[in-house]
Amino acid sequence: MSLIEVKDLQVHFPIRSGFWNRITDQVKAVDGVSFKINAGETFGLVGESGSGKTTTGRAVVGLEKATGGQILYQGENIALNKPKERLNYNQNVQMIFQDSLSSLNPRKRIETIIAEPLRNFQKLDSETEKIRVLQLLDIVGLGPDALYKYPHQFSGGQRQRIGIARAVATNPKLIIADEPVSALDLSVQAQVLNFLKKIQREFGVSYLFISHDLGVVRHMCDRLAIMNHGRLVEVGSRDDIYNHPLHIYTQRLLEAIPQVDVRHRQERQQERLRIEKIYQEQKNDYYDQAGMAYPLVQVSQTHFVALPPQAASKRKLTAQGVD
Amino acid sequence: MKSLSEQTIDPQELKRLTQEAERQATPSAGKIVWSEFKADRPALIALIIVVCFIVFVTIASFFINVSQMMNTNITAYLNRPLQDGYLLGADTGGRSIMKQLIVGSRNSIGIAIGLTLISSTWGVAWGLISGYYGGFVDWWMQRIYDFMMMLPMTMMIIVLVTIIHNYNAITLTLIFSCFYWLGTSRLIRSRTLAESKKDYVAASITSGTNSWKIIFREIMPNISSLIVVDTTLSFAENIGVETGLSYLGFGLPPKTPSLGTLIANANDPNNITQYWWTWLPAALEIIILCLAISYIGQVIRRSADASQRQAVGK
Ligand SMILES: Nc1ncnc2c1ncn2[C@@H]1O[C@H](COP(=O)(O)OP(=O)(O)OP(=O)(O)O)[C@@H](O)[C@H]1O
Ligand SMILES: [Mg+2]
Repeated sequence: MSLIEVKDLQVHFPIRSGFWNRITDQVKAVDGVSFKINAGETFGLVGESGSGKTTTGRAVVGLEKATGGQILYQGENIALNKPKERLNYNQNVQMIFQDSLSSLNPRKRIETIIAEPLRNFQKLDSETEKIRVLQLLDIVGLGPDALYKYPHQFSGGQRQRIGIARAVATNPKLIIADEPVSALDLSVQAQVLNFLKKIQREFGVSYLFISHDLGVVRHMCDRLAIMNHGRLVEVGSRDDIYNHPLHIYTQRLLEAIPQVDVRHRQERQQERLRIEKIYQEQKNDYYDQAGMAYPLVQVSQTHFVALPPQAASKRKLTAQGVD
Repeated sequence: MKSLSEQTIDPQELKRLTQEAERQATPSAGKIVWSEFKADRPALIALIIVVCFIVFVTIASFFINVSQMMNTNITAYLNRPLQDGYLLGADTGGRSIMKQLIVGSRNSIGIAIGLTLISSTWGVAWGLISGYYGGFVDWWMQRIYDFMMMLPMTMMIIVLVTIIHNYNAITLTLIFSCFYWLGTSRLIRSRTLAESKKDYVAASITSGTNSWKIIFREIMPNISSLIVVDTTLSFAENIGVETGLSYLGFGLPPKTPSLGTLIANANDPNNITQYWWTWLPAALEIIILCLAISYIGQVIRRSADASQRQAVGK
């Protein structure tokens, strides 16, 4: 059984307008997303800006109400509208936010910020609580002198580590990491990613790792999903996605990863143009009239792709033939 | 458990850290405001005037027997200032203007303070709750707001005052309070809407903190500067509220002196030209008070906005 299973998740935001402020339209931020995350693994969620990654993550921790679909935690449907159940759930599912500065209350000291989940979930006496906070700071490489400082007294990387310390405070089973390093410069990125890996080794936590950076995801994730306009277009293992991408959108994303390879620059440029041309030509095949991706089709044990209907039926046949 | 004991740092070290933290902490709002006042001489004078004046009228009014003071005394009919020991003269009933001014100021300022406290508290709470919960709660709370906005406020107050026979300063304050929280609530709501979208609120939700704590312990401190500024400015405005209505004859009962009833002396053309001392002191007092308070409000507003501060350093 997987740790968490997201089934056909939909999050639609109403757009209100006009004199009566009626709901006139909807933004389909997430529109039928399904995936599973196993205990101890890192599952990547990649996509361009506005593709609905954050919304998916927020729906999974229960910050955004799902318009449709289900979220099963250890096989059980969770009712996030019941405060008690939600409290239990959030003890096990936590989030690291995209913007580290806005995720820390500017009026509170680091001690109070990190102790917040501890106070609500585990009623510790003040001495044990302080020791636990110091321990958490130590895990993310910050000394005791951080304890009484305010968020603005830290650098971006340090703030993100404070966010990580808060997220791991209650020993959760799953952490949603929403672009935890995209606001940081490269040297600090590696440092924060290593802390995340270290925590995973020590506590066996799973990550839903959200990013738009395929390079970072390759370093972190066992399996990943590519998201486009609120739908998943490809799900697979690291090998599936990086070495055998099938969807044109994935191919295009992969081609856009910047590389420091001066000798083959000319060839890479050619390759990029070729893929862009294919993308433009086949765009209409891979998306329906509304510009949405088709449902996922299984093409191997681990690999799922949103192929157009004709290609999908062909693929299914060959898959059966192989069996 | 072993790692727990290893982690323990000795209490001495912890104490040193705490002290260091106190020193490095961002200066409190009070300190910032104070240094801003020190940098702005006129504002400091305004502050001293207002504070001293409020303290003076409060204490002095204890030594004045109000019912005796309000008795008519024919012999002192329209005494000029400094005549027969009447410092600021007397009105048509021979009542001391000076004493009326002191007691009247206390009444008017008392009502303004009460009104500010009640209406700001209510308005802030209304705005915070409406903005934080959003959805249906917000919809209903805003419809109530719209309805209240629609009512002609001054007329409603006049009607209420006429209906209620036995009213005094306290009931009057309560009646005013029903109408004067609206502006505050709208202002606070819009800031709360923006503040609730920030991730620290989301982090508190996933940390299991309940909504009331998030509203009043997380969001409210972050908009405290706005609340302070708004409260100061509405205080200046609220002095005018009671005064205006008493002037029209719908404020405090006639036997209760207030700044408004004193200014109402100016209704008589004779008073305006010949017996100026019956109304001029009260009018001057209101002008000076309101100017001083809005000056103070400006300084507080400046200190709330880091980029506008005039005080250098911390
Ligand atoms: N509260 C909201 N109300 C209305 N629309 C929203 C809301 N939140 C998100 N959206 C819309 O949903 C879409 C997906 O947003 P989301 O924040 O999930 O994107 P993202 O993939 O995280 O992008 P980024 O990489 O820039 O963080 C966007 O088009 C956005 O405008
Ligand atoms: Mg995002």
